[in-house]
Amino acid sequence: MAIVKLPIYLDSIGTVLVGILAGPFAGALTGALSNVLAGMIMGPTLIPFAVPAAAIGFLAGWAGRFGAMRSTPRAVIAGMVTGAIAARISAPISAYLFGGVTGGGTDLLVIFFRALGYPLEQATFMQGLTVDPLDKVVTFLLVAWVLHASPARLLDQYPRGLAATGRVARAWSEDP
Amino acid sequence: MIYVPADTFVDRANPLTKATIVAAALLVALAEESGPRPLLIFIALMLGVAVAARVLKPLLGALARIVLPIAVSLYVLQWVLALVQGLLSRQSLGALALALLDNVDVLGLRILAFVTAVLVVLLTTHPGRLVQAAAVRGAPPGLCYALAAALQIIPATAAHARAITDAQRARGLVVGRGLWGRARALPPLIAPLLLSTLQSAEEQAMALEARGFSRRGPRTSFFEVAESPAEPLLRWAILAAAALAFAHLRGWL
Repeated sequence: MAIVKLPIYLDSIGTVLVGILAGPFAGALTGALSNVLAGMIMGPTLIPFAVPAAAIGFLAGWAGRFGAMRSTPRAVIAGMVTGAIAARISAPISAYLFGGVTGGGTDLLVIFFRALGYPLEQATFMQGLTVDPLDKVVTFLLVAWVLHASPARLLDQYPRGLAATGRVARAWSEDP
Repeated sequence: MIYVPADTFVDRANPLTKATIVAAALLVALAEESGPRPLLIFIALMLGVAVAARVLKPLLGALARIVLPIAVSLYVLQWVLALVQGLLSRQSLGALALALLDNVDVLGLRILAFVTAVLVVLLTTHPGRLVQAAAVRGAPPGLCYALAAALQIIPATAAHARAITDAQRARGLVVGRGLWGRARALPPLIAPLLLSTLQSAEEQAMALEARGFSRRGPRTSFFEVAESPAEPLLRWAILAAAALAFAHLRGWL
């Protein structure tokens, strides 16, 4: 995201895409592995967050089964639910391992909620709830857009992708 | 990439054994909750290993980059809280702040110990070698391939992303100013990048199938990871000892 410099993470586009195309377990594996890999390359503090990342991939797989990519409102709802659950799972990890902070700009929100008198884990959860659903809504919308823009030749190979987007597989007889 | 190539005994050690020893030592250091001493000893030990492996400078640099922002947030968080609570309860501000800082010290040291331990392993081990060693020792080949392949395609994907952005710019895409302008530049980058990644994943899958990757049964490895027959046993023994020590220090045994 360095090229466009946006203040959202959008780090789970690949995880959501795999979840939609290949199902919940492939999505969960992608989420977990990509976080472990990011931890190896950028810094070990990312590794414990493989757990919420796996949850995001798993939920994306399930959202696909319910046709989350068929329309904009569906993608928005799926993104919000996934974001909220990811925030719930991240909160205790962030609170107990890192004292609720990550060293990023969103720490200001944790400080804000703590100053309002919320306990640490709740403050971390509320910080996640402020940022994660928005991030996942944008992620789901982008993935939905990419899937709808993808050529039939590609999407036809993924029955789950067809189900999630509501697109119909191209019949072989239609081929010129 | 965190890894710094250097030819020392730490680099040459079996990646799995190295990771096991560091993980076990970290577990024991984290188990002791009475004070910061075990954590300080552990961190000093890791710094010693870093000196022996000639990676002290990159280690300190990476620590500053990763731990410093967390530490700043942690202390600011505690100070703001101390201030608000002190003002509300009309307690002695100094006493309150000291009590809170005490807690931060142990937490901060725990974070420092965890990050230092993983960094020392990563600085002295190429991630690819770690994955290979795991594969040779019987980790699921599909999982190992996924990790190794992802490691290898990161630079290629980054270069591809730059090429796509350049191509879109050449066709008149303007990365605009402001949030909305930058957000609009995102879809023209993401769609081609994701679709071409899917395509290449399919090509790789077919290439693997053609080479019999999904066959069951014993496999040979292109890479040799030198180790004595006793080394896997040693790793399990170290892990078991660390688990016992953890349980004992926590009062479970």
